[in-house]
Formats: sequence, C-alpha cells, structure tokens
Amino acid sequence: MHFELSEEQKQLQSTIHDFAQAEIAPVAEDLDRKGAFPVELFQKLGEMGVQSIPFPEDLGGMGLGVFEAVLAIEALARADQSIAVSAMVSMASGLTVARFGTEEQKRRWLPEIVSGQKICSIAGTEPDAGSDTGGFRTRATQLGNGQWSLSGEKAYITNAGTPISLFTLILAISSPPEAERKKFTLFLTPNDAPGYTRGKGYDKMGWRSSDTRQLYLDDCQLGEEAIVGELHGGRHLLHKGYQAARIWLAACSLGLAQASLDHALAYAKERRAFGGTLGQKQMIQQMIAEMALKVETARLVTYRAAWQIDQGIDDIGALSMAKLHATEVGSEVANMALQVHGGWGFMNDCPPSRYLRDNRICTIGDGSSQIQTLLIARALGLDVDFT
Amino acid sequence: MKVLVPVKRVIDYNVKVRVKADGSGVDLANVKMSMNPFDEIAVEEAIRLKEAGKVEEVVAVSIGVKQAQETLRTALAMGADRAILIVAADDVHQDIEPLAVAKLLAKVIEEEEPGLVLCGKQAIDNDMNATGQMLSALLGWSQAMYANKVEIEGDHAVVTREVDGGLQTVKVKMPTIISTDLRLNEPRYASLPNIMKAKKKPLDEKTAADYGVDVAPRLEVVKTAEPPTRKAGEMVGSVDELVSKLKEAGVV
Ligand SMILES: Cc1cc2nc3c(=O)[nH]c(=O)nc-3n(C[C@H](O)[C@H](O)[C@H](O)COP(=O)(O)OP(=O)(O)OC[C@H]3O[C@@H](n4cnc5c(N)ncnc54)[C@H](O)[C@@H]3O)c2cc1C
Ligand SMILES: Cc1cc2nc3c(=O)[nH]c(=O)nc-3n(C[C@H](O)[C@H](O)[C@H](O)COP(=O)(O)OP(=O)(O)OC[C@H]3O[C@@H](n4cnc5c(N)ncnc54)[C@H](O)[C@@H]3O)c2cc1C
Repeated sequence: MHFELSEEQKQLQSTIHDFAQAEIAPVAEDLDRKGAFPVELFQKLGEMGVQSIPFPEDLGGMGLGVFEAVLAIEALARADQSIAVSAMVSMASGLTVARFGTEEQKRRWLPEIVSGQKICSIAGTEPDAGSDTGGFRTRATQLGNGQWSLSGEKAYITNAGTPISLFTLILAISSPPEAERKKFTLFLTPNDAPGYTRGKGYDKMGWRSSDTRQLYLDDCQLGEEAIVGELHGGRHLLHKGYQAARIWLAACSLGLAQASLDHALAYAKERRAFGGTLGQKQMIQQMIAEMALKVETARLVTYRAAWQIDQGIDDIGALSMAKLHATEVGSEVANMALQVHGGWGFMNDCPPSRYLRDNRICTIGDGSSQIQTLLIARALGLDVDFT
Repeated sequence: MKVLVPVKRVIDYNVKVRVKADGSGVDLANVKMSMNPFDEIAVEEAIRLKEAGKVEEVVAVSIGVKQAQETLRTALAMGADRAILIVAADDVHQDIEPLAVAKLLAKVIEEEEPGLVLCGKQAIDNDMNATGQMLSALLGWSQAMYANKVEIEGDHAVVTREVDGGLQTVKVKMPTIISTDLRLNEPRYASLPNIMKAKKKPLDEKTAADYGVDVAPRLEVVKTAEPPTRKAGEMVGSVDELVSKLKEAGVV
C-alpha cells in the first residue's frame, strides 16, 4: 500500500490548482453575486482538458480515471465550488452515456461534452419526490409509431438551462400504468426537443453561478434512439452509471473544506488580538488543528473510494462513507473558518461565508446524509427499508 | 526557421523567499520551483510565431540541475517541439552565471543553427539581465532587448522595445537575439492532454563538459540578506493626536 500520487497525477493536480487560483478564485465572489453561469470560464476549463479527464481516448478523452477527476474537481472547488459542480455534473452525465450509451449516441452527443464546449445534465428529482426515487411520476408512454411521449416535471436540475446546454438525461417511468412494479428508463433529451422546456433559474442560497432549473415535459416525443442503456433499466443507471457524481460531489466539498482551512490559517496568522495573533491563542490553534484533521480524513475516504471505483471494486459502503463524511466536513470546516474570521466572517465578501452557503446543498443532493447513512447501515448487513 | 528558447528553473514567483541562516544564499529546500516568468513569455512568443507559420520548430534549452527537466517539460507542454537539458550543476544552490550560460548557448547554437533566439530579459532569482546581451556579443549577432512586440519580416525582425520614457521600434537583421519584456504577451496554460503528450516529446540530456565549457563561478557572493522588515505602524485616535505624533517625529 502506498499513498503517493504518481508524477502524472501531481502534475495534473498542480496545473489545475494553478489555473483555478489564478483564473477562478479571484472572480468567484463576483460570480456568486451575479448568479449567472460563466460560459467562457467553463469553456476555458474545456480548453485545459478538465472535462475530458475520465473519458476514453477514442471519444477524445484523456482516458484517465474517476480518481484523476477527483483531483481536478478538488482543485477547482478549492477556488469555486459552483463551477466545480457544474463541471462534474456534466462529466458524470456524459460518462453515463459513454458507459451505457449506443455508439451512435456517443458519436453524436459526446464530443462537445468531452471538449467542455457544451454542458449536459441528468434529471431524476421531481417536485414531489427526491430521495424517494420510486415516487417519481414523469411518464414515458410508448406510441404506436415506435416513438415515446414524455410528460411530467423535474425539479432542481443542474446545468439544463445554460446557453451551452446540449441535452439532459431524463428519468421517466416506462412501464405501463397498470404494471405492478414501476420501471424507469433514461431518455437522452436534446435541449431543442419539442415539448421540453425549462423554467427560469431558482434563487438559491449557494451554487449561485451554477444553473439550476425546473424542467417541463409536455408530450415530448423521442424515438428509440433516445433510450440510454436498457429499456426499463433507468434506475440502475441512475444509481450505478451516475455513481461517479457521488464521489465527485465529495471532492467538491473536500476542495471547499481545504479552501476554508487555507483562509482560516492565513487569517489566524495575520489578525491581532489580545497582544498577539489569533494563531497564538490555544483555542484557535485547536480549531485549526481540528479543521486540518477533518480535511485530511475527508481526503482519505474520498481518494480511497475513487480509487476503488477505478479498480472495479464495487463498494457502496465506502462510496457512501466518502460522500457522507466529505460533504459534512465541508460544512463543519467552512463554519469553523467563518468563526475564526469573527465579525468579518458574517460578511458576504469573506470567502468562508460563501463556502458555508455553497456547501449546504452537498449534504442534501445526490443522496442526502440520511440516505448515505442508511446505505452504510445496509452495506453492513442491517435490514434497511427504503419503501 | 528554427527558434531557440532558453528557459531557467527558478523559485516560483508566488513563494515568499527565505534567506538561509548563514547568509550564503536563499533557502531552496522544499520550495516550489517554476519556469522563469520572462522565459514563459519567450516560449509563448515562439509558439505564436510557429502558429502564425513564421517558424517551423521551437527548441527549448535549459542549463542547470537535472530537475530543470521539469521546466523543459513545461515548455514542451506549452508547445515547444523538443528540448535540450544541459546539466551543469548537482547542487540546486549553485547558480550558473550568465557568461557560462551564454557560452553554452553559443555552442548549442553552433549545432542547431536557429534563426532566432528568444530569451527572457532576466531571471527573477538574481535579476542579472545579461545572458542575452552576452550571447549576442559572443556570436556577433544583432540584439533587440526588452521586446514588447515582435514581428518577423523576411530576414529582419521588427521589435518594439520598452525603454525609459516610452517605446522604441528597431529593425534588426536575422539571425538575432530578442529578449522578452513583461507585456509582450500572456503565456497560455498548458492543457492537460498536452502535458501528457509532452512526456513523449524528445528531451536530449547533455552536460556542460560535453560542450567543453567551464561553468565554475567567477563571482563571489559575499552576503545575502533579507530586506529590512517594516516597522509596525501606530494607530492614532484623532487628527490632533496624528499632528502631535508627526511633530514629535519632527516631520512637520
Ligand atoms: C442546487 C441543487 C441542484 C440539484 N441538482 C440536481 C440534478 O442535477 N439532478 C437531480 O436529479 N436532482 C438535483 N437536485 C435535487 C437533489 O438531488 C434533491 O434535492 C435530493 O435528492 C433530496 O431530495 P428532496 O429535495 O426531494 O428531499 P426529500 O427527499 O424530500 O428529503 C427531505 C429530507 O428528508 C430526509 N429523508 C428522506 N427520506 C428519508 C428516509 N427514508 N429516512 C430518513 N430521512 C429521509 C432527507 O435526508 C432530507 O433531509 C438538486 C438540488 C439542488 C438544491
Ligand atoms: C452583523 C453584526 C452586527 C454587529 N453589531 C455590533 C454592534 O452593534 N456594536 C458593536 O460594538 N459591535 C458589533 N458587532 C461586532 C461584533 O461584536 C464583533 O464582530 C465580535 O465582538 C467579534 O470581534 P471581531 O469581529 O473583531 O473578531 P475577533 O476579535 O478578531 O475574533 C476572531 C475570532 O477569534 C476568536 N478569539 C479572539 N480572541 C480570542 C482569544 N483570546 N482566545 C480564543 N479565541 C479568541 C473569536 O472568538 C473569534 O472566533 C457586530 C458584528 C456583526 C457581524
């Protein structure tokens, strides 16, 4: 067992880190305030090759793993979690097509996703059901001519309404209404498909420059070629195919936690109180040491779970632990960093206050902390009931 | 035409430099090293000339310790075609002086016969600002230092230079040596795929001895010292207090 990154991985990490600190960190506050998706910045990441990391080389990707993408996303989130999440959702949605899609789907839809010039998304959540994926109601009805007609609503969907959004993978019930068990299928829905519209962006407390919208499907007609993976195999794809997103969300929180620590440490060395610096006070030293410990444990569980995915080891428990721990640590460490900043921490121009707002969704989205806890318990052999 | 770009490995410009306790130099242990920023500008300019079809090949050269290989890989990742590393020291603390560097470059130029040398105006570690000029003297080539704009017109280069009080445009005959100033261009970030591809580009490794150049230092560093630390200021509560403090200090 060894814990050292390869030269290649270190170089990838430091390249993105340098780019993110020079080009993203200085504009993060402004992006947050404006709340608009930064098209140019996203495409610049594409030119750097960030989005191409986990895709196979024959699709124009770098052919690297989920782990290398973790390093990239962590480095991005250390500058701005909003852009990191936009990138990772597009990568994870695209990867679902790369792994389960047809050759035709890959050729037609992936090149611009891999090159980072376009963005894509995945839609499970609905206004009336999120964690309870069995409660989704959007329905795909098979028409006589081999076409499918989708109707329903999706809620809180990332990346679907930017000027460069290309398609959304929409999860819909594909079994007939009278079927005993609901079955779902994932439909690749181009942004310009008739009957598919997007609402205006939500007013959010965080992830403000990441695009989040409600989606409406009103007799949106799609052909067989829109089906990704197996017919009726949609839930499996959402859980297994889209799995990378879970670890990448952990990486988003990890980068943000590291940034919180960076700021707290720098401020503690500089700010003077009671005849010395804050960093000379034992209670502050304890807080900073604790923050560093939390960041490091989050990094270890996240890296290990990502490495396991790349080794082909299917370990839902490890994945859930990484997601649960890293996202919770993100909020804890951002909150502690804010505390170290005193009154300034409460101000919107103090980075940790933004970090706290941004990270808040990470313990909810993509399987909340409660759901992850239940999954860990189930992986340990306990009888967990999700019905 | 071939362009030769010398690149130096220096302390990263973001690093807060510490002087060694014995005053013999700057502490380089565990310090982040990068390509000299002016050399990055030179690499960028060379690649732009290649992209514009004015240049066929960009060759990067570094002289120093073995680790300068990383600096050359960066140049290759940005777009240089191949690289030459001349190992001239084992100890990272040994600086190779401009004259030795210029002599080694002159030898490389003899072999490579480039039409243009694009170098940084100075290295940010010891600010010598001498290598390009010395090289010009050794080769008897024309020179255009502190370039702010470079245009190749047939067998001449038209270079706008940053000089005291403004800009000066000169026309020099090729082959020539041009040194880059800060505002010449904004270097690109190497893309991740290009970083990976850079590993497969040719990197020749030589030693100073291969070229028969003596790199022993001629200058003696007497002492290296930190700049004096600024004294902490004093907060005053009112204009009256400020005025009385200034009077006390004898400045008003
Ligand atoms: C900014 C943002 C971006 C998003 N992007 C996307 C996206 O791109 N695609 C997408 O499909 N979705 C997206 N979502 C939706 C997100 O995944 C859901 O909000 C999340 O899954 C939780 O679902 P819910 O909101 O319906 O909450 P609910 O499922 O109603 O849960 C409410 C609370 O109850 C808890 N809970 C639920 N069930 C249980 C249980 N069995 N036991 C114990 N506790 C339980 C939850 O942990 C939570 O605390 C996004 C949401 C936001 C806010
Ligand atoms: C919205 C808002 C309204 C406010 N309203 C008022 C007001 O009406 N009137 C007013 O006078 N002030 C007001 N304040 C200021 C507030 O009381 C201060 O922010 C607070 O006292 C902390 O001081 P500080 O910001 O200078 O932080 P600092 O004193 O710099 O403290 C920074 C951090 O270090 C910790 N710390 C400091 N010293 C030590 C030590 N010796 N040992 C261990 N830890 C230490 C603190 O607990 C804190 O976590 C307001 C602040 C805000 C944000």
